[in-house]
Amino acid sequence: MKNIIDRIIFVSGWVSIAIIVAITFFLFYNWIPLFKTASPIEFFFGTLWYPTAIPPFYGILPLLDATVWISFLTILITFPSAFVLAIFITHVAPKRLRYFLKIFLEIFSSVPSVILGLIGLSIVAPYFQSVLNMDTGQNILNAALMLSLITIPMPTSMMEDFISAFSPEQKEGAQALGANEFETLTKVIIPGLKGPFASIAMLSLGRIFGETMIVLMVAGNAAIFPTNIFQPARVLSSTIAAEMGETPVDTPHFYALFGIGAVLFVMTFLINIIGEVIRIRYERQMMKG
Amino acid sequence: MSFKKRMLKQRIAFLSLSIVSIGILFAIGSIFALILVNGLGVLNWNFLISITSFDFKGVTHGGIGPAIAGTFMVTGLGLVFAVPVGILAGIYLSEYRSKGKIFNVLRMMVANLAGVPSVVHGLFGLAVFAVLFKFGLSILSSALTLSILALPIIIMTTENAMRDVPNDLREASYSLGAKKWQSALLVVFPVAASKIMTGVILASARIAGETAPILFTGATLYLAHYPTAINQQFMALPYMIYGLMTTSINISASTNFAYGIALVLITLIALMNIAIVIFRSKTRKNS
Repeated sequence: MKNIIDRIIFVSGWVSIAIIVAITFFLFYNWIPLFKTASPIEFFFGTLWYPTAIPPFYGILPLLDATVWISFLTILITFPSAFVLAIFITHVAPKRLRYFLKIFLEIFSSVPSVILGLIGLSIVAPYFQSVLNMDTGQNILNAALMLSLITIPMPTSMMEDFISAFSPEQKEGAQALGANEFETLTKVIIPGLKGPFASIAMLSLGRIFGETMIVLMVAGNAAIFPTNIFQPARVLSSTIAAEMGETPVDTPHFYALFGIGAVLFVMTFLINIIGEVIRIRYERQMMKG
Repeated sequence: MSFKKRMLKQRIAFLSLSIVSIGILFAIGSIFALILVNGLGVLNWNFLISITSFDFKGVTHGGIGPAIAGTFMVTGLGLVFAVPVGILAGIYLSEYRSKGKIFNVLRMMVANLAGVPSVVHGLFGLAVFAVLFKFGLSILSSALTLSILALPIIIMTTENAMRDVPNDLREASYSLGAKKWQSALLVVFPVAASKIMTGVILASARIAGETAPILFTGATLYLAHYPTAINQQFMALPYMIYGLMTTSINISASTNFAYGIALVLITLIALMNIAIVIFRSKTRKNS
């Protein structure tokens, strides 16, 4: 016998799946009409994104290219930084400082990305331009630096959790054999945490991929194929944010922006699933061992 | 390698780690410092409460009252939608379907929902709440969109908080003849409530600072009055920072203004985080 309250709880429990399905449906529903004006090949492999030109071009390849550039540069900065910080917090910092550092990073992790955009635009960009003599301060490097800063707290706290929860038996075993703390860390703990670290890298990448406001504000918004990191670029997410406001509903441009949304959604979905699967597999292994 | 050499190696490694870490922490700290220093100059009572009277062409006077009100309204309304559903969903995952294949799928979907880019939520809100449901560009559409962002955070903290409650309590309530829902809602939930509260605060801090989901679901750069109804467009603090930095002609004046808004926003969010820390230390003492 199920009563009404059980039913309400049941329905709520399934709401997240319902929303994911609904998001998928509405993204594709608003994307498919584009194919009357531009074929899927033009959309995915077109090298020009000029949606308001006459005739318009709806090729997302330059946006995709810039997204990959910025995401990889960001993860290249974020991941080692988070790694160093996590070791600093777990192994080097005095116990009292540890607690405050954790709270400090936690507060920083909830700083809105638009604020990093503000810093990038008003401080880093002018510095790049006038002191470092770059052609423009609004470029890939600036965006990647601001993105890295805002992303660092997430992988740091995840790594820190894994490092401090690492099997005490193995740690003590290494120490009993005469290894010092640094040797235990590099020869036992870090090799043992390959799985979780891979999963953390994926989850951070998923986050960086979808981040919009920073790139919109500081990357310079030029839909070109960048050849170096000092050039401006425009990514998938920021294109939607920059253009949707001025796009009339139910036009090819509107459909194309939903198409970009669908691509972004599917890519982050896959990245996150891979990250989660690696994490779950590792946790199972740990339970067996 | 001799013992001395190995200890030296450790010392050098930890020292260089510390230098890099302090550099990163310094960069993060300087963001707070920059906002504090640049923002304080603009901040006064008038700035906080009066109607905005700048036109984004450089005449930056007046205040951010309507934007503060707008941010509070969408955040509050978003929570009204997200909190009950999120808590019940968390209860479902911890009490009703706490293991098995379906549980794994459901939980992975919650994690995935948390990973959906915020601009995609904005598209969804536009297609569903603004266009399909005909709520238009409004506080209501934006609040509903933000509630979807808040949902996974609330679900995950509720599930974890409920799981942390010892099983003795559930068994005791069953032995007294309680039904499943009675045990979940009346016995386990009250114990988990203060931990769940931290999730709710975390979710509000997150959605209060979001820009992309409200960009095309109802936020506007300029409004000559305080918002009065949920079917109106609204100003919001994060969107105002973006607008000032990208559409203004007098850049130095609007940058100062933007820093003032950033300081207000960060203060709000920091206060929420401090509330979380306090809640957490309380639950630690109780258990």
